Amino acid sequence: MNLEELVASVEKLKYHVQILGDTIDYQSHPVESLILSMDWGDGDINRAHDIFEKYDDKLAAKENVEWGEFENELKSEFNIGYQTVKSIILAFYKNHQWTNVCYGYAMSFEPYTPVEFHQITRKNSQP
Amino acid sequence: MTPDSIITIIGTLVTLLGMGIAIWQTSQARSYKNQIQLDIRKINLSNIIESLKRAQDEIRRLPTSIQSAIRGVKPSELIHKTREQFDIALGTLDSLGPDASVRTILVEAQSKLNAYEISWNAGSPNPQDVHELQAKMQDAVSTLSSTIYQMEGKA
Repeated sequence: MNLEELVASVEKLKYHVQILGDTIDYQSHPVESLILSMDWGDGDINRAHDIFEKYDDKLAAKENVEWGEFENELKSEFNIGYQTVKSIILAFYKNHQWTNVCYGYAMSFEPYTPVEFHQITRKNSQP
Repeated sequence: MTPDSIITIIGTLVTLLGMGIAIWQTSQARSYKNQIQLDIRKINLSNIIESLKRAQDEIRRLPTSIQSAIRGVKPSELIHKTREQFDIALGTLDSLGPDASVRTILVEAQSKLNAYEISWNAGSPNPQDVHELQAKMQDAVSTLSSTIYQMEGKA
């Protein structure tokens, strides 16, 4: 198989993966759906986990958390905007991952919480 | 026939008609009461189904081994949330009422959840507990759905 054929195969595989990605049900598999929509690799999702874990540890240690800092860390790590940060938060929350961090971040907007975060802030007083 | 007797007959007829109306109204009231009771039960059962579906979603994410635990998912939190849903359902279902069988299934499911919690805390989660828990939840939801269908006269 020459280089051109290899490239064609990879392109075809990418196309197939994209189609398969579109069939993933966001409600049941929000994080998998996020990974494909962000074109993330194993390393990327782990870096996201690392950031969430860092703030989860801070919450567990009852340290004061600066949520703006958390948001900026995600933005600079993945070169993304606020709307994408929201998507990451929602995907993790729906997947029952890092729920304390998601809740803390969503609550930092109170009383002007974005509508998308109502499912987090209004569901329970504390996840 | 004297005017007196005509008046008496008319009076009797009016009294009988009044009695008939009173009986009819009583039966209507009873049927309304039954209908309201049926509607309240249906609403309660629908709410329980919602709670149980949420619990099913949480149970589905319980790791069946230490290796399969997903980063950021805390089984203790999932167990806590599932238990809350059980409490809502068990608090609504009467142990002697028409839905007592579902209550029994949920009590069994609750004990499976407790068994899983013990095994998870011991560091060796038992997958069997999760599988049985899922089956019990499915049973409870199916039974409740069938009951609602029957109440609506669809089955």
